[in-house]
Amino acid sequence: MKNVIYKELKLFLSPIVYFMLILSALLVIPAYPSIVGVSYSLLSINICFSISRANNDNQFTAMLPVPRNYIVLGKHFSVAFIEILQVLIAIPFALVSVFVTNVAGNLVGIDSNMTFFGITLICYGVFNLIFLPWYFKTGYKAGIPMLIGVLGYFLVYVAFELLLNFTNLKIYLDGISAEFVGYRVIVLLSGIVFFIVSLFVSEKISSKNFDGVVL
Amino acid sequence: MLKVEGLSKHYPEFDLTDVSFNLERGYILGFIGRNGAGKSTTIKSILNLVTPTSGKIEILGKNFQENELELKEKVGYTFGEVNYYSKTKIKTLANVYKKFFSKWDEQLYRQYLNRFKISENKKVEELSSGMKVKLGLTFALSHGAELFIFDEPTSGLDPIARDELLDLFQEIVSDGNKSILFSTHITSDLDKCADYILFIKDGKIVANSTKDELINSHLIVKGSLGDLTEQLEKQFIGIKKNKFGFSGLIKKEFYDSGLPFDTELPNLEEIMVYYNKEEA
Repeated sequence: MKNVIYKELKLFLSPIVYFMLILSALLVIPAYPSIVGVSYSLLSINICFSISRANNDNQFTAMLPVPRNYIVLGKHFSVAFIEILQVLIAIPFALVSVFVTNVAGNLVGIDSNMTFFGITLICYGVFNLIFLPWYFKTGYKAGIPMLIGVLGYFLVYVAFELLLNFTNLKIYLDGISAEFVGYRVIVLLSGIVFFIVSLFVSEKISSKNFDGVVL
Repeated sequence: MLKVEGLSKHYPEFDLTDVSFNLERGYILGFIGRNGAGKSTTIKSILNLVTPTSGKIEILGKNFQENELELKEKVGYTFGEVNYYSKTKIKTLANVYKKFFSKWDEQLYRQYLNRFKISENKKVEELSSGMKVKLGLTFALSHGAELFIFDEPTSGLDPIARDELLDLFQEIVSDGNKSILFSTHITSDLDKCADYILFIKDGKIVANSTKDELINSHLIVKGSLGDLTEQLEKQFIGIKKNKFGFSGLIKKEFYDSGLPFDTELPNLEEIMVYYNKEEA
């Protein structure tokens, strides 16, 4: 599997992925929706899958001595790699946001605190569960699965924002007060768990879908 | 070396049915059939690139599906020209490719690059069609494989390059330890180098024998239409008629040598053409 990961890093992941990571810096903009910066990972994923279709990437992997499901595992690695990196790069910018540029709180949505990162990981999980199994029904058509995946991602995020703004959950989950930090940690941990589970579930469904695909 | 038993694959508009054959060490098996007959489906099913509906594949005495990872290292295969990562430098592609093979032979790889005059610093898209085929072969030949499966390796090559390639195929099997299965619809390639012929039509194997047996068991019969009886016509595998007469392919065992017709041994192309005229 380590060779498949090497192949993904060398051939599948476009250099543009690393440029997009910098856009996590959008978190520092005052009164700007926190979700925007971390959403560029979805654009990176879209670009990589489009380029890989032009490059017949799956056909190339199929030429290598690997079982079919390693193609699925490789793509799950790449998607998770992009998403995790985008979140990790976002952390220092989130700190700048809450302590420097948005000290009084973000006026247009949740602050970039632990709750935000937990929700982001849940949104990534939803995207992964929609996009990857759907993509692996054909192994090359990424457009519609991407569109619906992104829609799912933003709908879940908007649902969380509405939930926070129209209930008193905002008191516990928004901001950076020390008093309610435990609640925010719970959301973050829930996000991490959901993200990991989503990858496992998606991999199982994707492998099953990919079994019938002609390479 | 390669044993295929009862291989079938069902598609809504095409069925590969009960394909069985053996390939022993040290031989070249030519796999012929018209476009769409099922050659690529068979090859892809053997390599698990298409999940077969049923059937058993053994390579080097081991079940392929149960030992896919190990056996894929021992099989070198290409599907025509390299059509992946066309904007990538060959060097970059090779550096990734070689990581997957524990028996990668760098010296042999360099030898084939030189032999085929391929520069590693070029991008794949900068190669001609024929050179892309040769690049695929270079990769397939450089990782210590014992069985080679080439799908249409001679398509797109000029006659000289094709001839060189066929010489190379014979060179590969000359040590008696390696075997080649290659599909083609250019039957003259097989006239030159194949030991065995596997002939597929509409997803079913219609002939599986040595090249000489296949040729010697058939006859091309030519004569005037006036002498052609209905009974004889039924015995033909395929027949062509025009105002000057007829010519048809028949199994030697069904032909009475006392009949007043000209006969000759067919070549592989004629066998393929007449078999495909069967229902005409």
